[in-house]
Amino acid sequence: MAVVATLIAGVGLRAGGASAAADAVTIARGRYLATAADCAGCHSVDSGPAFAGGVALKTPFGTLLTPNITPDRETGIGAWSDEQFYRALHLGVGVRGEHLYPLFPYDSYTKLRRDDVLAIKAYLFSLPAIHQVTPPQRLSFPFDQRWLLGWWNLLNFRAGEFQPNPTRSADWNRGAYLVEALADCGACHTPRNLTLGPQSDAQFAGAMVGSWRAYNITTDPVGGIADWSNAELTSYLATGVAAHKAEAVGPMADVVEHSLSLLPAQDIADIVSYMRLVPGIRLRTQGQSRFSWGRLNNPVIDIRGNENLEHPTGRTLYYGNCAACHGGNGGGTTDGAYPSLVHNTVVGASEANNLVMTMLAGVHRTVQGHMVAMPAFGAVLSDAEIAALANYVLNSYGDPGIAHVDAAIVAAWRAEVQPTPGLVTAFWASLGAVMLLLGVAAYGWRRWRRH
Amino acid sequence: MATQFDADVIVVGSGVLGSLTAHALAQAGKSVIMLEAGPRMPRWQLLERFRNVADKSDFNRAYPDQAWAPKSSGGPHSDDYLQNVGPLDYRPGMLKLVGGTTWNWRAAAWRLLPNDMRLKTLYGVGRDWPIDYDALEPWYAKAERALGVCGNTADDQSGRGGAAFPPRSQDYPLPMLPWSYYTRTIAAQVEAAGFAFCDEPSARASQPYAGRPACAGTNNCTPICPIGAQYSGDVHATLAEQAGAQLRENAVAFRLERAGAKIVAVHYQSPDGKPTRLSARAFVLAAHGIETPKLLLLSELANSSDQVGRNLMDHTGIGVTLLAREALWPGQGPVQQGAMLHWRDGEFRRRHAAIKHALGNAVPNRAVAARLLAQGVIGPELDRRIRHDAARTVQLATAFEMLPEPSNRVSLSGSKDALGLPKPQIHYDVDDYVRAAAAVARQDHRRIAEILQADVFDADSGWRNGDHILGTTIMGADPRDSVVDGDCRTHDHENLFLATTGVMPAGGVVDPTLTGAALALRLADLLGRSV
Repeated sequence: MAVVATLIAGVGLRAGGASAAADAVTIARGRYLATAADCAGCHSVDSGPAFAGGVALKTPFGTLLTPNITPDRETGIGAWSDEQFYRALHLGVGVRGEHLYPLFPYDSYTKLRRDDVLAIKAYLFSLPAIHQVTPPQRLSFPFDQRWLLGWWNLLNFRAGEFQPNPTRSADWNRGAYLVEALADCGACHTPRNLTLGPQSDAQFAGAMVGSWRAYNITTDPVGGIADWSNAELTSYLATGVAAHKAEAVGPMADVVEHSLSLLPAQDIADIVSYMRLVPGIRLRTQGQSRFSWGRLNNPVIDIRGNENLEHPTGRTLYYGNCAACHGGNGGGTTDGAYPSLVHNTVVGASEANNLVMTMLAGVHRTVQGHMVAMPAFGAVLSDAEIAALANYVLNSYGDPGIAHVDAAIVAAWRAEVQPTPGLVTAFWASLGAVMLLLGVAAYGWRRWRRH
Repeated sequence: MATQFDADVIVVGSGVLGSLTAHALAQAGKSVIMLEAGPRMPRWQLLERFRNVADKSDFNRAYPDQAWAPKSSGGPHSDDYLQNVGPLDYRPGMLKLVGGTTWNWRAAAWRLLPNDMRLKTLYGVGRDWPIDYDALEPWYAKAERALGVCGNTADDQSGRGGAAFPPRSQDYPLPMLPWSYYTRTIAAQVEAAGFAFCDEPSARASQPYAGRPACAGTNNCTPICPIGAQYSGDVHATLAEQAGAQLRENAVAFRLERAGAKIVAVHYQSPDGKPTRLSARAFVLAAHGIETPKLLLLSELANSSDQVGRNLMDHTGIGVTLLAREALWPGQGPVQQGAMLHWRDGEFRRRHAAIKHALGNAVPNRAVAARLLAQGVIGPELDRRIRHDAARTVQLATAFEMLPEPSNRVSLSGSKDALGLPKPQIHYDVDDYVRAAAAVARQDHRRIAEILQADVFDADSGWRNGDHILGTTIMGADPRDSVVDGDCRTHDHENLFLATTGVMPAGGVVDPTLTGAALALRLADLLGRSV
């Protein structure tokens, strides 16, 4: 990063003197910060221009479209002052003083240093202005009442920039800044409390993201990542693969593809340093770690000539849909290109969510030009077939204790097969309930005051 | 004139060409109904059927065999379906299910050469196409994208080892698959001896493509790719449905109904024989190169030229099996990766057919074992010999260009199928143009055996068809001697189009599916703008 910045600075000096050089350095830093925070994840549609917004965030109360954050003066943020931009990230307040919805994670970005926030702005302002109107938000009452968000802030939001911890190493502090302020790992991996703020006593202990499970990434030896080597953690974060152990799927594959894999190696090392000191927490009953389940098992001799293809068992479905790549015995290929299902962190998890969701949605991950793909079977197999298949895989290669997936569960999880933004739905369902309560309380309180 | 139609366009057949047509029309906002004679079956079920079937010598056997929609072989309802009455038994691959016959293919996706389309003008034989390569080129590019074709953009596919040819406006959408050790070794040896060896472009995902995973190298391309890395017609059948087309399974079209010069309806039967009539503004028959002319003959339509069903061509060829001195390990990667094309085009075409020598890369163990068992080899010696011979087996599949002969034809048999419809009757033979090429090819075989220091194991397989049905609804500029015009529209009926390789009046010596796909997309575009 430093080398790149220096090179850009050099070009800037020749081109336009000292201030232009400073701008180029700032822009380069802003670009790096925007990557670490994966701004594009919510503000760019796949087929559209970068940062022009329009990504639909579905909630049960309506669809929120993310805003255009290109420097277009009319439809983007081109007219915003530095102070306005800083207030949005630091306080969650828009240009007209309105509360921003906390889908925009200002509770993390508040920890960003002011010069970093302005570097992100400098980067965004260096990009082409795209004239693209974001249609007005249409949430149903009372969720369209932004003033209610003041209550949420009161309960869950503390503004304030990141304060380094002098008792920790420089590596740890850099990692903390990345994890807490930028990459915002807790947004998915930390469970929410009743009012939907982060559950402070369960940081990184695992949570639901729509139908997907964001796993426990604390240092608990059974529930978490204590037994992962530094090399495994580093490889997983930088490439999405910890060989013969874990593969990033679902939302985490997106995070690796669009953010983590693009960060300098030192950043990944810093994140690992930080994660190593996260207190271990075990929220769920886990008998053994996710990657310790299963053994090779190939019942092909029992199958041939004994299959009912009209009413297939999970075993038959496994052979027809999975075995060509993952092997009849579940062992994958020796080079790991086709992952083993034995000692696999998705198959061995204590919830079947990610196994089922991977079957339904497939795997799509492109890291440094290398594409990894597993086809989606959601359109091929019925809910009952997916359930039977999941139970066979769990019984053979995972935790047999949770091998009771049924069609109804699959149908419910299937409804969430959406790109990442759709995954906030569950979060919103709960938030909505709380806001409704708070809203009713506030209404009652006002009426009571009038008397 | 009725103004209420069941659909804008009805497409008969849900194979690769029908599905591409239906998808393009549905995307253009047309209401589309597709009729498919067979059922819908998921890949996993077909795969498990193949694995469970004991007799793996007939690759059709894994596919559904039903009384109302027989295939070309591989089951009691199908074995007696094609009625051959000529000197050669012609039994090309033909499956009846959603997705059609490309469930079982090798996915070769060649373009024709510009000269392939001007055979009469240049060499005084066969027929010219009424359109030229330049008219087809943009549609080739679109077809390559639709099917997800991998290939080497830099190759000279005319077989001369020169610059990239034929001309293309866009690179292959996917990079060529790496060659296996077997293909690499043989290519290097024959090239050192002066034969150009060319990568075979194929509708096979060399990288993840449009929801398909990358080829895993299972060497099971035929009878079915286990993972769908290889394109099959069900891809666009599904896309067509997602774009709004309606697909009716187990619907056997048996008659087109005419009013004046226009087609007004198609009639189909359900498996129980119940008839249904559907009307539309336009009709596309995409029912395979044998069933399409059969349906026209049954309906007594589009045949003012008396050419419907005639001019049946294929790339009938011969095979040779060699046993190389060193172990080459065939069977890694797809079942075919490249070819020698030095006889693809030239003045020699005045005298004999163009020739393609494709290098087969299928695992040869089954054939090797059968041969050894027939020789009485058993026990540990059998295991040793299977390993030894299979590792050294080299298979060449040599195909020949054919010329249209009116006497090679599909007609209606007096014999009826379960629905009471006449079975296709086939009269087929190869002519001296092909026989002259076969003599040249055998010289090549001997030379290649020398180069590879190989024993010729099986010198001549006898005539083998290439499953490439051409000519049966032949395209031409003159309505007096052809069935469709350059847009695949029947000369006799302005709202009846044919999406089948059967329209090709000359097929060079390469697999015709990509050309069929380009023609289908071109006709769909025309139809989408005019209906």
